[in-house]
Amino acid sequence: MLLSDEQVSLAEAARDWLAERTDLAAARADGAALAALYSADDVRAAAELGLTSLLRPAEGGTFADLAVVVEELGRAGSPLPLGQAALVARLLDQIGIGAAVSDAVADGSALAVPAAAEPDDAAIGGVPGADGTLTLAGRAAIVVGGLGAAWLLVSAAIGDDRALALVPASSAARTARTTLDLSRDIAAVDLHGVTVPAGDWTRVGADVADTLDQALALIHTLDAVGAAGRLLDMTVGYVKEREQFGRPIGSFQAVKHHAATMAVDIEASRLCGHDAARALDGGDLLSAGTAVAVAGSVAGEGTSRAASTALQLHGGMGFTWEHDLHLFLRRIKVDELVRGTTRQHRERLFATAG
Amino acid sequence: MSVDWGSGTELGELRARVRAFVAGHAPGRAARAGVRSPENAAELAELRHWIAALFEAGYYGADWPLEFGGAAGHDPRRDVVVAEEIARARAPMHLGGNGLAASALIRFGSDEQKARLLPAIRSCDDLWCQLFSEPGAGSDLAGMRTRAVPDGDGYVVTGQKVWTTNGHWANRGYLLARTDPDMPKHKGITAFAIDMDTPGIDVRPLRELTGTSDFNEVFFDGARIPATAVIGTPGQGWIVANASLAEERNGVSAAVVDLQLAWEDLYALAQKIEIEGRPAVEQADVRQRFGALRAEIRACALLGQSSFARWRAGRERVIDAPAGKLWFSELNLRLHEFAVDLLGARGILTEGDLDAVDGGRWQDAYLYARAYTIAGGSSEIMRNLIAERALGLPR
Ligand SMILES: Cc1cc2nc3c(=O)[nH]c(=O)nc-3n(C[C@H](O)[C@H](O)[C@H](O)COP(=O)(O)OP(=O)(O)OC[C@H]3O[C@@H](n4cnc5c(N)ncnc54)[C@H](O)[C@@H]3O)c2cc1C
Repeated sequence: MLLSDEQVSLAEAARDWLAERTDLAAARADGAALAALYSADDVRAAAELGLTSLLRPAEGGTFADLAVVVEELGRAGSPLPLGQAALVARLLDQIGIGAAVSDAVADGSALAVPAAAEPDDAAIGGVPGADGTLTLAGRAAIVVGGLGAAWLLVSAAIGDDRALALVPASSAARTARTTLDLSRDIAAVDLHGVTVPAGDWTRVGADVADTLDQALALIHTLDAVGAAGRLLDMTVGYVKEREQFGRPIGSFQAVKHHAATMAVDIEASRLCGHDAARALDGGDLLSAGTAVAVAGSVAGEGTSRAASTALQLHGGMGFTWEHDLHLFLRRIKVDELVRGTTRQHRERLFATAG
Repeated sequence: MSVDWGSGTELGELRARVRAFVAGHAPGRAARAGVRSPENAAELAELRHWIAALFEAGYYGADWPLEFGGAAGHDPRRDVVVAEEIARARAPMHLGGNGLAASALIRFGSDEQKARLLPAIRSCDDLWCQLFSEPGAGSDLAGMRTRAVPDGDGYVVTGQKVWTTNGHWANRGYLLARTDPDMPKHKGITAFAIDMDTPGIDVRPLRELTGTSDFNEVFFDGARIPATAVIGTPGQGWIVANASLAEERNGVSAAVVDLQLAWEDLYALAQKIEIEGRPAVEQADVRQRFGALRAEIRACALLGQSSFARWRAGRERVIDAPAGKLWFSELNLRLHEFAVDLLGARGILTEGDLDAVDGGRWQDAYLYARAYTIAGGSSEIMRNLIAERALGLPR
């Protein structure tokens, strides 16, 4: 269950690359335009590193590998929705539609992200036409990466059946959302009246539909783990340097205990996140669903608590707009609340027990 | 929730064998929560018999040196399987401090000590207690003041130990005492293997808050012990003690099984309880607590498995053991607080009351739960360790 040497190298490569590319100052700029967050060139470079094709069956990609990368995206505070894009490429390969889009995602010439209703919202509906088309109705209230993406993989319901439909993002009505998160592109996507040609959509079994839901939830959990890890490093660094009462504040025991609690929360969250990734690779839907909910429950609480403690330990300095701290605190709270809240994960764990 | 090394594999088969063995041999009585002492001589005899059977079957002591009954090419994962299966059957796991004493003797004992003392641990004829803590030295163990003064071909021990679990039953003691008061405090300590019937040792049972008698005060008043009692070398006691404490690594995997069983039992109990005229399991807050605990128990298992895997790979980190201990002990406390609260007014009834739920088991475990956050390095000490040694914060 330890990371392999290859995974450690992958993490290091992703970390170095992201550290160079990520401009947190852009996130802080008022009304930052998406264009300021990342460029087409960033996407191409990520693809060259293999980060968008990590999950493609033909590449032998695994969720365990993706987990390592998504954690680094969170640690960097990166705007790039690479986990989501890698997931779309995998699903397209798996269900046999949109081969060209899957290739485009893998080579970095386009981004694609999933668009699905939040767990508590009404599902996006699909009505099949006699000509083989699918007409969509409904909206995805929160689509991470929705503005920058060229394609959306829509998760729709046809009665009790589930379907995935690939639509050009420009065919949907997209609105930039104003959210707690300043470091990512988050859109509302309205799909009313979008008609998907035959061949660009297909009904899918629970295996595919559940994998999509679970993987999306897990991407947010792992992102939060990475972001919280960054906050721990920032906090440990700060409390070693900052002096009050003639000594580093990190020598005060109240501060030490806060930091230790952060470290334990993050370690437990990380282990649960990686365990869920391995469970997704294992292919058993039920145990993957449980493992994802475990990770969501432990990390939802643990990473948010760690973020709050990080702010406390930075004092007034951490309270400033100029400090990076709040970018991660905000991002972690968003990760906790989208694609399944801590509350929903716990309800699932109760309801599926016994 | 245990480590699944797969059925059909060697370890999977071992698990099936151990399960059958435990079912056939373990004492019939359910073990109380925690590390407890036998309540009477009959119970102690039963316990000796059971632990001896585990040694005889090769399930215990397989990691010992070959000449003392260990197995060639022993795979430490087997120990995890054994510990998990014993926990699953709610059978007792330890005979006093025998495991701790054995690991100290194996790593630091002389050939003479090993030959004299290990066979009686294997046969369970001996019962050991751990004589470390003192009234003035708990968390700051190295501040101990019990003296062992060199005298002729031995030592004379004077001082007091406390919280000595099983002291009233033990015939052997694993003692730490100060042999050189002029050395810095960690360096002047020596470890000893002593006979508890040595004249000058007085054991006085203490009653715990649970109402049971598990630990003791032990007074030393000029007790004379031979030089051959020294484990390792004089002044090496701190190293001996820390190494033997670190050996207790299967604890977390067994503890996880305990937590899981407690969760399952509580879940079954909750199906029968009503709160405000509605089944407890229909109340959102109850469902949330159960869901959260289920996740936290899984996290506990993963913390244990990952530190075990790291240890085997030679990649153990400072944070691993204290993080597992903290997580387990605080989770165990939360779970049992929840259990008692969930029972509502009936939650007050304890063992002996006709209406006590499950014979008062939840109340006993709730009262006992703080033992884990205090003993073996308190939660605060674990956090100090993580902050200073893992995160590098200044002392
Ligand atoms: C059920 C039980 C069984 C035991 N069995 C044995 C046994 O068989 N043999 C044996 O030798 N011992 C045994 N012990 C003793 C146990 O190891 C000690 O209780 C433990 O080390 C704590 O020491 P103390 O009780 O003196 O508490 P103290 O050290 O006095 O601690 C009291 C409080 O102060 C806090 N504290 C102390 N120092 C610090 C610090 N530096 N920073 C922050 N907080 C601090 C502690 O965390 C705790 O909350 C047992 C204890 C219990 C509860």
